[in-house]
Amino acid sequence: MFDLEQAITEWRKQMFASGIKTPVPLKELESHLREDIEQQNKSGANPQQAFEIAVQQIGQAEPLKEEFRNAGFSGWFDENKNRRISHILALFQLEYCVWGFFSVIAPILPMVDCGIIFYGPKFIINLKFFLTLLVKVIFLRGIIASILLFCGKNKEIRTIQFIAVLGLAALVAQIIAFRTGPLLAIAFNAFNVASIWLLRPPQAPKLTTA
Amino acid sequence: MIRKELVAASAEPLILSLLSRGESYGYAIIQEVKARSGGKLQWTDGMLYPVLHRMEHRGLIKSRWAESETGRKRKYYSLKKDGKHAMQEHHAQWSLVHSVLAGLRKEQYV
Repeated sequence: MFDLEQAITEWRKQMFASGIKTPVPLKELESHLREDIEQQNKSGANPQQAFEIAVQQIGQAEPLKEEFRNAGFSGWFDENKNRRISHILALFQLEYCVWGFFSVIAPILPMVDCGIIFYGPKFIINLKFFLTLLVKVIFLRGIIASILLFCGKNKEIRTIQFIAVLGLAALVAQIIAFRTGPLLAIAFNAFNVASIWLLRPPQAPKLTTA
Repeated sequence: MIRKELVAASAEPLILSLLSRGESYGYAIIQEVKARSGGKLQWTDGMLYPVLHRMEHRGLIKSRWAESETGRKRKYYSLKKDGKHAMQEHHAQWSLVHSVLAGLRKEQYV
């Protein structure tokens, strides 16, 4: 004998196991499922058929979870908290990167003035100089990313992702250049790169056809 | 059946337009779209909810839980001021696309 309540409980467990863990979407999806089952019953389907049709119609858990995740329901914390945390991190990052940008550029400026780099008799190009330039890129990236983290618009997401990847490349350069230097700064930048990537604004969900 | 890209693009204007007539809930929205399109515009039901949540997050719509006449709990969505503006924008854009397309189609038969 088909037990509808038991079947719905099983369906809920499956959804939960697939990652739709926040209560609001699950509750809403269940309400929808029950509504559809009732409608299928009215059109003549037996309870089991009605349940199966409704489950099929509502869609599979995996793509649904993906869409909810893109809509901001990561399952860890709700969207607003996520946003607030990203704003705090963005402020830290902004402060760190503005400071970092000027601290890196400061030792280079006197060298240019003295003609060592661009006007000297010997055009001094060494690995360290280019690595320093790359580190500057990290900080510039940080400043831009911090500002973009405040915006939730979709068009900025790709830019943020690109900046995070660029940051990762620059991070490697930073480690090579300062491997005996400020490890704390390197760790902080690694944390920044990870946070930018993880807390990028949610993407607009796509609506797929049945 | 309507192409999925078009279904995806039309979801937001359709939801906004439906809600501009009064508050509604997910299941009713899907049924209404299905009925009005003669069954040609079909969504995977569950996929509507992430779209609604996203729109709510963007401040276009708001929601509240309420009990239906039959005692079932439903999440009702209604339009906010920004949603009304967004709807008008959508209407203007879709009208433009439609008029361009209609004009071109007319020329084919002249």
